Amino acid sequence: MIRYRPFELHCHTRHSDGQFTVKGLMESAADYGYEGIALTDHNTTSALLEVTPALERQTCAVIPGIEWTTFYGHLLVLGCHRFVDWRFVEPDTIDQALAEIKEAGGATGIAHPWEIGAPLMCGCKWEFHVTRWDLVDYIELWSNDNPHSHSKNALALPWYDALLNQGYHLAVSAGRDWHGPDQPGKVPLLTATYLGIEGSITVESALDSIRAGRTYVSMGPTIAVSLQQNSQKLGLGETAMPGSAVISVSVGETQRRDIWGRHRIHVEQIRLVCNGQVLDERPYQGDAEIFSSILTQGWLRVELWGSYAEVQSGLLGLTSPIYVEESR
Amino acid sequence: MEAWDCGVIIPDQRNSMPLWFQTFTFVLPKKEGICIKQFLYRRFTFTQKHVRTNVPLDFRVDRDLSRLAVHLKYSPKIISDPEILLPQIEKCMESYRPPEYRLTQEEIKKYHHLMNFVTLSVDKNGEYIGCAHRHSPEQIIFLSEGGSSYGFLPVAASAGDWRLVLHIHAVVVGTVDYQVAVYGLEGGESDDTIPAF
Repeated sequence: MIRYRPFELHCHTRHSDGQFTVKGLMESAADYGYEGIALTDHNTTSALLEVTPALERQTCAVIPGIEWTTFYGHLLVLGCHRFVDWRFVEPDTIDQALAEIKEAGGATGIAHPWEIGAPLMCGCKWEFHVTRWDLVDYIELWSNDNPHSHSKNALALPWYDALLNQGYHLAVSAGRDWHGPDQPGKVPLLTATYLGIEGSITVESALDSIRAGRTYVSMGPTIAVSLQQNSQKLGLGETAMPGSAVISVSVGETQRRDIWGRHRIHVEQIRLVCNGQVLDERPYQGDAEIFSSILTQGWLRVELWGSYAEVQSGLLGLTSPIYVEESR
Repeated sequence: MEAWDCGVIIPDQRNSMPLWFQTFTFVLPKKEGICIKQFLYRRFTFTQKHVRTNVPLDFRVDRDLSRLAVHLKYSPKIISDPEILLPQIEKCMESYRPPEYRLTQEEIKKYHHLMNFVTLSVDKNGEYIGCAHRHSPEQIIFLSEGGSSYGFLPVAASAGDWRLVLHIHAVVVGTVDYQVAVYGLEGGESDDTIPAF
C-alpha cells in the first residue's frame, strides 16, 4: 500500500552554514507536519552522527544526504553507502560523478537549477554538462519558501518540461534550503515534497519512492492521482501506453492544514498537462475529478491551481509525471 | 607549484624559503610550559583567475596527538564599494537572467555588499573527514577522535598523511590574502594557545 508522506528534502545545520542544531531542525520539521527530512549539509555528512533512532521517533525520519556544493552547481545526494568525492568534478565529468553516486547507492537531485550565479550566488546555478540524465533522479523545481516569489523557480519549470519532452524520466521536488528557525509564531508559505512510500518510512522506502518518480510538490493540499488503462491501474512515475485512459484526481485539504491554511490557499482548478500543454482542466468542486483522455506519447502530470495569500491565481501543486510510451 | 603561491613559511623568512618547502614542522614556544607543534603554514594571494580552483596542501603528522587545529584567515571578506558592486551585479544579471527576470537598477542598488569566499576540506590517509562550508573569514577547526568541529567527522589526530584542500569560490575584485596553519596539540592546551596570524 503506497501512501504519500510530506518531506522537506533540503536542510542545513551548523555543520555547514545553517543556524539549526540537528535536534532543533528535526523538531522544527515535526512542528510543521513533515514526516521526514533529507539532511543535506554543504559538503559534509557529520551532522548525521547526531541523528539517533530515539530522536527520529520523537520528531521525524531522516534521509542521510549531502549537498554537493561545487563551483558549477549544487547536487543533492541522498543515501550513499560511502563517500563520493565532490571536490574535483568539472562540467564535463559530471556524468562519471553521477555514475559513481549511483554505484554507491545514492539518489541525486539538482538543487535550484536556475539560481543566479557568481558573484551574487557563486556556484549556485547548474552549469554542469549532463548527458546521462538517466543518472539524475529528481529536479528541485521549487526552491525556498513562497516558491512563486523567486524567478529561479519560474525559470526552472520550462527547463524541466523541456527535459521531459526529450524523454527523460525525472521526478519533482521542493526544497526550502532551510538554514534556520523561523521567528516564533511566523509560519512562512511552506512547500512539501510528498513521497509515495510503500509500507513504513525508512531510508530505503523513501529513496525508492524518489527513484520511482512517486513524488509531488504542494504548497498545502494533497493530491491523489490514478490512471486506469485497460485492466491496469497506474500511479505517478509509472508508464502508460498511448491511447485512451481514465485519470482520477482527488484533492485533500486536511493534512497539515494548521500550517498552510493560514495562507488562505484555495484550490480552484485541476489541470492535466501533457507534454507541456494543457490537455484538460476542470474547476475544483471538492470531489474527485474523473478525466477521460486520449494519451499521446510523452508525459502527463496533474497541476492544482488556485489562490493563496494575496495572489489570485497560482500553481499550488504539481506531480511528477506519468509517462506515456509505446513500449514499457 | 602554482604561480600564485607566495611561498611564505615563517614570517621572518618571508620570500626566502624555497617554494617546495611546504610540509615541515617546528615547535612554537607559547605560554610557559606549553608547546604546540606546527605542521603546516601557507600564505596565498588569490585573484579572480583562481576562482573555481582547488588548492591541495599535503602535510605529514609524525606522531600521535590529542588534537589537530587548523587555523585559517582571509581578507578582505566583504566588498561594499558601490562602484565595484553595481557593474558586477549588472553583469551577473546579463549572464544569468533573461531580460524579463533581471533586477531593476533600483533593486540592484539594494545590494550593499558581495563576499569573497574560500572554504576548506580535510582528508586523512585518503579518507574524507569533512568541510567547513561557512562564511566566517577566520576559523579554528579542531579535529580529534573524541569529536571534531562542526562539519568534520571525529578522527584520531594521529600520525599519517593529511591533506587540506582550499576551495576558492569567490574573489570579487583585486586580491584575497589567505593564510592557513595546522597545529598539533598534545592535550591539556586551551584553545587560545593557537597562535594568531
